[in-house]
Amino acid sequence: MNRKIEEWYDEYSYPIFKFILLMIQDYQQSEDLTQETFVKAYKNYHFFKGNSSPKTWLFSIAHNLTIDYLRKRRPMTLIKEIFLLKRDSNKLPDEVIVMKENSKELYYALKCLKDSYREVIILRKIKEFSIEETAYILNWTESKVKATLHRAIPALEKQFKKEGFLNERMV
Amino acid sequence: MKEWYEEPLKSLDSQILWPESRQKILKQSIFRDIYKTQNGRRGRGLLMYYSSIVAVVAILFIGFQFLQKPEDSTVSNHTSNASSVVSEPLEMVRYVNGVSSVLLTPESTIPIDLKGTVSGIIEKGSYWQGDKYTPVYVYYPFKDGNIQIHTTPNEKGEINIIETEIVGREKMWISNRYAELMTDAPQIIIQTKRYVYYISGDNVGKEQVIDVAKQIKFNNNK
Repeated sequence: MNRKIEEWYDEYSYPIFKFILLMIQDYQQSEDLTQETFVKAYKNYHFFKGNSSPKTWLFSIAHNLTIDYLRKRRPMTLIKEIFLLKRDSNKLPDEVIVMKENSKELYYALKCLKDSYREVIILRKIKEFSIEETAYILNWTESKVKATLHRAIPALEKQFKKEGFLNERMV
Repeated sequence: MKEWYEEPLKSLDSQILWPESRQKILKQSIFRDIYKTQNGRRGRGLLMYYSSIVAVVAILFIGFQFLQKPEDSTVSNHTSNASSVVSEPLEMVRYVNGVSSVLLTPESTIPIDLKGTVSGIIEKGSYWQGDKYTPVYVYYPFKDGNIQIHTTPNEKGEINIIETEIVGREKMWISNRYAELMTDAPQIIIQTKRYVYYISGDNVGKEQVIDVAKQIKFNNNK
């Protein structure tokens, strides 16, 4: 079992880390949640019956942990924003600062979306999961995945434009 | 036609970097958590095992008190048989030069008690059976940390010696076997043609990990 978890870690830890980072936009916490994902996979290994691929199963664990984390973090973020009277910019550490400017802008635009929009965009458009796989990971129906994505893309575009980032080249 | 967001989103994903060194550290951290979980499960399992043995022995003892005459020696025979069941599972333990040692692989053993041999170890090591890939785990407790050992078969049957210098990895030889020290973890990986040995420290110094690694006794065949 340890060997299997090790194989999965080697294969999927990077995409899972990036998924979590795009969701919560906190580098250190993303590493912690990646760790929790694999420890939880180990503890629940006997529940994995092979009905989905290991990748999809691991992403569903990462999704649940991420959503739990965001729920717990939200009140703290609100308090911080009230007292500091500004949004926490969650600066990226040196390791990821090599992002091109427009990617950073998109990264911050994603941050402003609601969790469900952000998540469905990441899974469908970045990680390229199928509608069926996305529905499994999010524990939604397939029609909910389609409908949410349909609303999420214009919301991302609006956010991007609002910040003045959308340039002619992209359009 | 491509939508405006498709390329920027893919490019965003590809530009997020996660250094390999951090991935490795996280991997070690995950397996430390897993070992702790296994150790916890084992502790609970052992408690149940010993409790049930004690209960059986107690029932037998009380039963014999009623059924046998006091001078009958059967009672002592039974209790001594029962207590031999309580002792360590014999297939995992060998006596090497009179020292009780855990059989790590068919080619190696390590003494169960390294207290006094390796500084910082506070009590005897514990060990438990894994699966066919990782037959045994050994755990040595320190005051604020621990060192764990596990092995896996060397499926390629080759010893991969690093050619170039890699930051955070040092080549060394432990008991004439090729080994690498991961200085950040700290962890030593010893390679033989048949097995790979992982000696990982949690909250201990690399010197202590090296000292424990040196206690592994190999058969003559490399």
